[in-house]
Amino acid sequence: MTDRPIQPVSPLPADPNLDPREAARLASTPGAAIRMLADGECDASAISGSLPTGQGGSTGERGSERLASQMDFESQLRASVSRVMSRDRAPESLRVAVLQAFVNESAAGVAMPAEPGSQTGETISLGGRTRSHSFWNRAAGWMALAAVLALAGVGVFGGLRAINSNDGFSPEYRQSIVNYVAHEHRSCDASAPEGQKKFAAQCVDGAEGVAKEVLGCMPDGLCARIRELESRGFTFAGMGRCGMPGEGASVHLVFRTPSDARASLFVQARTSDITIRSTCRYTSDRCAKSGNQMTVWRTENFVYFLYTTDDAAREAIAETFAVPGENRAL
Amino acid sequence: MDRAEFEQLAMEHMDAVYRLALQLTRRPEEASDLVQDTYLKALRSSENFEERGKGMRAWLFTIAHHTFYTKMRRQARGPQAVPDIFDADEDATIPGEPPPVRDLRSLDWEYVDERLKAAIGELPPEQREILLLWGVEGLKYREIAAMMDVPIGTVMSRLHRARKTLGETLEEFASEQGFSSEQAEHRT
Repeated sequence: MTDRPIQPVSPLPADPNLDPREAARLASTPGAAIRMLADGECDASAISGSLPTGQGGSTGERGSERLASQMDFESQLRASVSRVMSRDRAPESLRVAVLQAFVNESAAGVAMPAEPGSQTGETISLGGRTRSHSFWNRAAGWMALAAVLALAGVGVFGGLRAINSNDGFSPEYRQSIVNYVAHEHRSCDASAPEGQKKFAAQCVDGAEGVAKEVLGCMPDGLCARIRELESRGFTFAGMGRCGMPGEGASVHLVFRTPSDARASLFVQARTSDITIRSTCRYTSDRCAKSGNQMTVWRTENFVYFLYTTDDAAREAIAETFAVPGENRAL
Repeated sequence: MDRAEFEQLAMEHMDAVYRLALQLTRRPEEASDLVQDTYLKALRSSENFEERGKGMRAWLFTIAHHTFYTKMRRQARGPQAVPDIFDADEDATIPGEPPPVRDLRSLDWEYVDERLKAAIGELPPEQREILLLWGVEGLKYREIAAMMDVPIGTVMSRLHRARKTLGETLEEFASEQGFSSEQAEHRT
């Protein structure tokens, strides 16, 4: 009766970039070998010399069972670690802050040459926390940058047109809302598990409660307008709290349009960051990459941001929400 | 990589970077600060980023890791002592102790989670970090070692210690539930 190596199969694909000789060196003990195998670091053949050997017959079978149990333990432990540690998600306010910081860096003409070693981030000094060196608090820098931007006539997203200084959109604010809306529209699917978490209301009846909870009151006729859109072939997919840049609380509504595109409508309690006229709608150029356009308008104490690729849907929503006809460039 | 591409790609990994930051700092506010610092540094170096190789996520992890430990080292030089992260055992000795044998299918894993979460919270940050990168993000030992700039043996050693602690937690839980008998006799 001879010893025979046990050849278990790893539950995970092996690391193709780990040199077999290095794998054999690392698997210098049975314990290390078993964990490497369970973790999908290498194939059993690469470390067979370190794996336990089983005698033939029933003893060998017990050895195989033991090894299978050990690997099973490691797999289940890993699955539990994954389940426990994967629950945290970046808060919306952080996404907004990062996007805002990107805009600020861009406005400041950052294009900083990367220092040697900066790929690891070790040598760049920010001189403090991001939160504490707010662009908005630095009036002098703000004025200088606004002047530079005005002179340059910079449009940073989707070919946005030059600033209309009468209408209270700072370029930074405009950039941040476009970035935020584009990101949320792209990443929030109301039917996905994450979307279901965000979109607390999945039907019209639940929308009122969410609106009151988040915005403090119900935007005039919102539920009736949603129902009207449904009668026009739209599907209301959900509504939930979101974190539009600026002071006012906001909600995100998602619709499936009659032509099966997606339309996002963000409603934000009026904020001092934006002073647009209630007699106009403001429309961005179409994003060359995604084809989306954003339309912004104000009704009473709420600002609405509509984002979709679907022109017919945009007009239908504009009609339903009685959006002013006069169009201005965003 | 142009600016728009960078933003899109980087933002897709924000949850993962935040999770790492949270495991390192343990405080949501500090984690948010670390994420912001990480993304700004990445933005400033984005022209040098090559998508080939490590990929955006690993690159962001690397920046977050080094940003955190650089800050901790600076603070350690200050008047206040920093926790024991710098006492971390850098010994790259490959752990020899084999995994326990237990049929864990008899455990109700849903009830294990809270206990496991608490046990993870007690681990030192360098073990939590490796645990996250290994268990949640699915990185290989080699990738973790490159990211943290340590030998693979160190990764294995830290991961082993973390697993051992968590394994003991599970054993306790199993004992409480009346599944304790087989453990000792099956240890090799």
